[in-house]
Amino acid sequence: MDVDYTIPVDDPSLLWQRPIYKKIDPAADSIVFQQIEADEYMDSIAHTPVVRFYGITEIGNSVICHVTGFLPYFYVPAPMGFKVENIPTFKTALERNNSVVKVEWKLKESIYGYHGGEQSPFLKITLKDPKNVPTAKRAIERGIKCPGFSDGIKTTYESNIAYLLRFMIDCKIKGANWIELPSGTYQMREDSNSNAQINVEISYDKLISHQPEGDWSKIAPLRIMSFDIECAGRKGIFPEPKSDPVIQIASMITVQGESKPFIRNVMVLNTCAHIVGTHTMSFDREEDLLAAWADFVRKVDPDVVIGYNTSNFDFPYLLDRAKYLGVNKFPFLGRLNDIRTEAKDTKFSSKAYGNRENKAINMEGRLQLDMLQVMQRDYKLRSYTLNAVCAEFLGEQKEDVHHSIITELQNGNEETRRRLAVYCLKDAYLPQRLMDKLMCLINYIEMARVTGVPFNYLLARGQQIKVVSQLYRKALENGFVIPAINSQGNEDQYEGATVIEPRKGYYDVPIATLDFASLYPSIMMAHNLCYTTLLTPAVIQKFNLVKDIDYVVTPNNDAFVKAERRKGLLPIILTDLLDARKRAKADLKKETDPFKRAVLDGRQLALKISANSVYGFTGATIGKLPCLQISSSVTAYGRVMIERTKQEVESIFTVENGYSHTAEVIYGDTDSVMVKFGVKELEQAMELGRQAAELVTEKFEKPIKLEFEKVYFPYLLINKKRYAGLYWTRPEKYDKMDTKGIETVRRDNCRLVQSVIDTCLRKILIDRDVVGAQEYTKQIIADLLQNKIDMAQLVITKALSKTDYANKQAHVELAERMRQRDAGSAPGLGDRVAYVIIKGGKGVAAYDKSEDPLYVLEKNIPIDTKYYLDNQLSKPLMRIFEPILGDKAESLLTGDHTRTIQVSTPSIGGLMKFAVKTATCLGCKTPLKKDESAVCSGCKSRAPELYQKQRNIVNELEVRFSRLWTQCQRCQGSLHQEVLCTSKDCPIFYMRKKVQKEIQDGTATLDRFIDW
Amino acid sequence: METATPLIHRRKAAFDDLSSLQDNFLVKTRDYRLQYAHLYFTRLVLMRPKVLEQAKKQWNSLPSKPKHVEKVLDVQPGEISYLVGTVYTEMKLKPNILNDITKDHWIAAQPDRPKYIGDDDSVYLEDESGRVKLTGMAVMDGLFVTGIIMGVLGSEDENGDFKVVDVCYTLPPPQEPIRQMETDEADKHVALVSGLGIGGKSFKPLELDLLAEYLTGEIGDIKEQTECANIVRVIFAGNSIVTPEIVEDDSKGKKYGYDRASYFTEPIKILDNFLREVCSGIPVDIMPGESDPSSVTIPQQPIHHALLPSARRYSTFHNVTNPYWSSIDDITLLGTSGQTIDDIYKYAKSENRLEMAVKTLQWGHMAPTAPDTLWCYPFKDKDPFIMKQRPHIYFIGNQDKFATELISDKDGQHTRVVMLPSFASTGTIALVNLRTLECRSVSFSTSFSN
Repeated sequence: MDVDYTIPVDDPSLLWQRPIYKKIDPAADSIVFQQIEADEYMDSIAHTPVVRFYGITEIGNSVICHVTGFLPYFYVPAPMGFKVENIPTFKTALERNNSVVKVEWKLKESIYGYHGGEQSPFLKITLKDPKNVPTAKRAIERGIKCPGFSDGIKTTYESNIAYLLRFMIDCKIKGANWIELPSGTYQMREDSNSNAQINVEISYDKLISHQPEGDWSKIAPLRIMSFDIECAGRKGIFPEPKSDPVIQIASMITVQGESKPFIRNVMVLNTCAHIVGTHTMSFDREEDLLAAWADFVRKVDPDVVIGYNTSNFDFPYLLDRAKYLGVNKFPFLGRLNDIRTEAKDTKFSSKAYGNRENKAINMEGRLQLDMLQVMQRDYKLRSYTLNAVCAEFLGEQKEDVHHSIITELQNGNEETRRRLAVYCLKDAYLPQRLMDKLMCLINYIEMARVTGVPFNYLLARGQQIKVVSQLYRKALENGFVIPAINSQGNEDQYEGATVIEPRKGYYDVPIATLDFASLYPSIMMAHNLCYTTLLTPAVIQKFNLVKDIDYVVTPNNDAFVKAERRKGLLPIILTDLLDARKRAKADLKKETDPFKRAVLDGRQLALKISANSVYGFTGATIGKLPCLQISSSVTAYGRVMIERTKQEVESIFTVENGYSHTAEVIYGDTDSVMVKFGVKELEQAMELGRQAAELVTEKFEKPIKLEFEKVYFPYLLINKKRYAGLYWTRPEKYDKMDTKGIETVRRDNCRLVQSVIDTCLRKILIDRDVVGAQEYTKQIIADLLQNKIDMAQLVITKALSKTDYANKQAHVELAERMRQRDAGSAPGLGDRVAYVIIKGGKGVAAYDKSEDPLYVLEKNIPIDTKYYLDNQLSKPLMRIFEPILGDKAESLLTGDHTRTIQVSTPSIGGLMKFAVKTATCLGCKTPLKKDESAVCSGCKSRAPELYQKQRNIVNELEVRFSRLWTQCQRCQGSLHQEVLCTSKDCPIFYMRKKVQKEIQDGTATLDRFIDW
Repeated sequence: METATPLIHRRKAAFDDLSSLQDNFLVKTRDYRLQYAHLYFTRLVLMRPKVLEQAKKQWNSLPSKPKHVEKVLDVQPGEISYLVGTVYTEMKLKPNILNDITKDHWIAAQPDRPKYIGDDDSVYLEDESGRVKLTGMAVMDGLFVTGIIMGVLGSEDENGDFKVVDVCYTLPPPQEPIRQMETDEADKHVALVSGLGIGGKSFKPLELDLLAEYLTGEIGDIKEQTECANIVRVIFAGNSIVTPEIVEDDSKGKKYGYDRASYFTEPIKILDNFLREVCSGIPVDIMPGESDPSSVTIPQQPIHHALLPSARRYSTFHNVTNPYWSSIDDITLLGTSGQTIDDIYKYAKSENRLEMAVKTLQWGHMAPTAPDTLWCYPFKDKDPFIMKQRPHIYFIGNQDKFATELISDKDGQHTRVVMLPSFASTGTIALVNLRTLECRSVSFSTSFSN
């Protein structure tokens, strides 16, 4: 790329425009671009659908390409006795309320079931308007006045696929691939409603779609905009667009593949001091600010818009605010300036991702990746605040300014607003950094390319559509048609994977793990399981098929023809996917360019995920094409194979056969078995593992392959799907500590649980110090009961998503109590409430025992340590210690270390009103006489020692105080300004508060040593 | 018969506790609701005018006519100008509590590193408006630590960084003139001792006895005793005892929740006896150090007088702060027990600690790295570590070896810089001549090898 973005210019807004493009001669030049998004519209004159591609050329010019001429269609099976001659009658009958273009007689085969390989007649109905497809479909289902159709046809074919996807499939266009418009085939357009630099039109049969392979794997220099807004809320109320202004918008524009943004700017209401390396723009009126930002978006014309929670907060807020202020130019943020950008409610429910309510923002021609949604979709985390996510993936803490302080900063002077702007800029940049770090954009692009769906489907739609896209493509190539099934969503459950009953325990010998590589896909390939190979008894009879020669019967008693008769479509798809993955992995090994490596890695991952999702598609009862015979057979084969593997291993590796020990399968799940070969050395276990994998693989059909991958040593098997072990792939050094199902990331756990379990496992597995782990646990429990655990470790957080929960909930009740104390600082709707469980009298409901950690620190309110021990720690602890200690594990929770309990003396409430504070001797705790300040006369001789002891306590606190507060000063990036951050996710937030209190108290005690 | 034993009298000297400077080190009531930003802010506000004056002196006459830019963020690209602000050094190896606690809890915290310097450190200049990164050879080669107030001359480069060609520090603070009293009498001396290390591994009781006898004039011949009588004061600059060991009683197995650790109080008793002996003959100032029973944050508060019950009975006994200002016969002394330089040492490529002490004189600040990496009390509207005066004698306790240099500048200011080694490991103390500022070391040894 020749464009140099780093040249400093006097007016940074000169950088906003895209690179200029040279005049195109449609007769001589071809146009090549990467399409990133597509939509469709009806041509108002021709009344035919047009597909509109939005894309970027290799040098970064924006393109809108209108593709004309492609018409929607679907199939119906020709009924018995229906003849070609009947077509005109049929057409007329159907045309009554639909714009039928043509009806053709086609020989096709339904994908569902094997019919001896014979094609049968179908009517291909081509319509003018995609909207007519469902109406025509319904008309045919109900029955039309035509012989053979009067009673209605139950099943139509390919009538439930979106026009756009239909078009892409037929034109072999994949998501985000490159499209070439050869010279002489297209016309330039002058579209007044378009912001693109190049506007062209082409007929659908002229364009060339380049498959994303080889050189065409490249990615255009996409412009990515990452942004964040700040609003000035009122005290205690989460900002509302009707009353609270947008005060700052920070934006970063980065070209895909570059390491730094080439535009960094911030738009500020009111003045703002200069920020190095940033284009700062001040506005007197909020209306002007909003209008300027919308202008900026249109000028800089980003291809990808990212942010954090932008779909549900930033965009809806901006749109509502602009509407309220009457900034009419604002809501046109897409590439088409006659389409208004709006926020619409969408519901998204998927088996894999759960139910979510979101807002969808339309910005024609721009991709949107709300990083919050990406995180929620792709990663299982304790918390999804930007703060927590940054700590997790970028390894850094983020300054968090509470929205009540934001208003104060805005109302200050140009320096405080600058402070806020710096904060806003940081938050605008973080999504970009996250995306780069996690390679989201590239991985998503590769997923779109592999599965062939438009990029936007990936976030907005579930898993199924990806399989649908691939299935339709393969069906088209092979002359199949796919029935449109009105799935009823029956609740039929089929048997899942098998689990070999675990022999629980702590294994201090190497445990080899044998895995079936891509188990379900390879079962489908090995046994030719597919819609197209599924047999019914009638068909078997009709064609005189012979079991085990022509077809196989699966362990689930379903019959499928063998590949020799017909290779199934799904096995073909899977073979393609897995071969492509092999190629990508091989290329990845050779490739040195980091950017190309990232693309290849993204691809192999997409291929793997896609291959694995095929099985799920056949089993999705509320799906496009469920086929439980396939999915049940797959799992049935899986179960048989696991059992078989166990038998083989246990019969081959025996003392009788000359091995030093008899092997034992201690656990197996879905696609792996854990084998205790009995040997003590890692090398030996690995060698035996390799042998076993080879020997067992021979027993199965190709391409099923059992692989030896790793050894766990030591291995702690807790229960089904719950285990931990040290993971070795080579004998020299372990790779990592691996845990499964020890769910320490659950959000309603406090951090203490995670750190204790983690530490115990490390002590047990890495240090092999079971006694040490017990000691540690006892010490932690003792510390807990004596109030010595850091508050941050005990905090539980929950989002306050609504106030009218059916049942009373701890965090909701607390939010209400906090509002009564101080409406200003209380958490509002949308905030996360952090709380600890405090001691309550008998009969106090659990939800009333929640309390604000800061309040607890301030008032010395006693923590309900018992709650933490019984409800948080004990279960997970028992889980890991029981397999090791058996019944003795209980002793961890009772015994000496639980005898001493320390409760802080609260400074409020109850008895404290009547208590009289008397100073007691720091040595023996007896009440002091009037003239004694620190120690009683009896302890006088010990005074120097007691003084030094207290001195040490205070010194330790002084160091903590200094380290904590200087850290915050550093983290916020300014020495001269006070720390404002209130990030409750930061591990030192409560420590920082607590140390202030403790050191004040400690110093007061020290000061009692006036003399002795 | 009368044996004429000449009576040698301890010389007397005028003493001034320089309370206007010294009292700033005493923190009577402690308020920990305060943050550190105030200290940086105050330091900048107090020192900026003096640094600016120096900058004008140094750079206004340059042919390029550099402009003063008031806020570091108002620097314009390509324009030769100068700025004043607080230095901030970013170093990955600085101890970071976030790393320590977010790292696996079970791993003990990493031991403190001898140095913080690493490969990609960077230096910033900051004021109330923001910070700018400093580049250029003038910055690459020099010693810069967080917290010094500095002026820089240069221009903004294409990356928005400030390319520095020259730096300047504060105008030298005023120094009391030395009154050269012409007398026949011999010169008076002050004795500087640090690191008695009582109770530690290298502690030798006999050497301590020797020291006491030397200071009180009980050993040597008349000549030596006369010499000793010229010592008018002795200052103990920290680490008199080692950190008390925690004695844990393991006999009854582990107990939870009961702190039975007791503190070994023998060293402080030895110190008390020693000081009583010394105080009987000579005025004594005892400063706390890192290992003494005092606050860990600087300024360290005087060691509690009740810990030294017999020494405190003498009027010659003074328990003082660290750092410590005083004046003897109008000679101004400033000393620290060493933490200030120990911390700067971690920022420096060099091993030469004397150089670093001299640097602090140039910076006009005795402990710039407080609070960033040197633990310190969060002062609100003062910075007691600013050198409001130029001392005549500037001593740093508990350093690796004895070293000294007389720094004289063209303005006629002189400062004797003394790096005091630990007495426990070297047996060495320093004597500084109060008239000439000459300094020599005196060593004690009880080994018979020489």
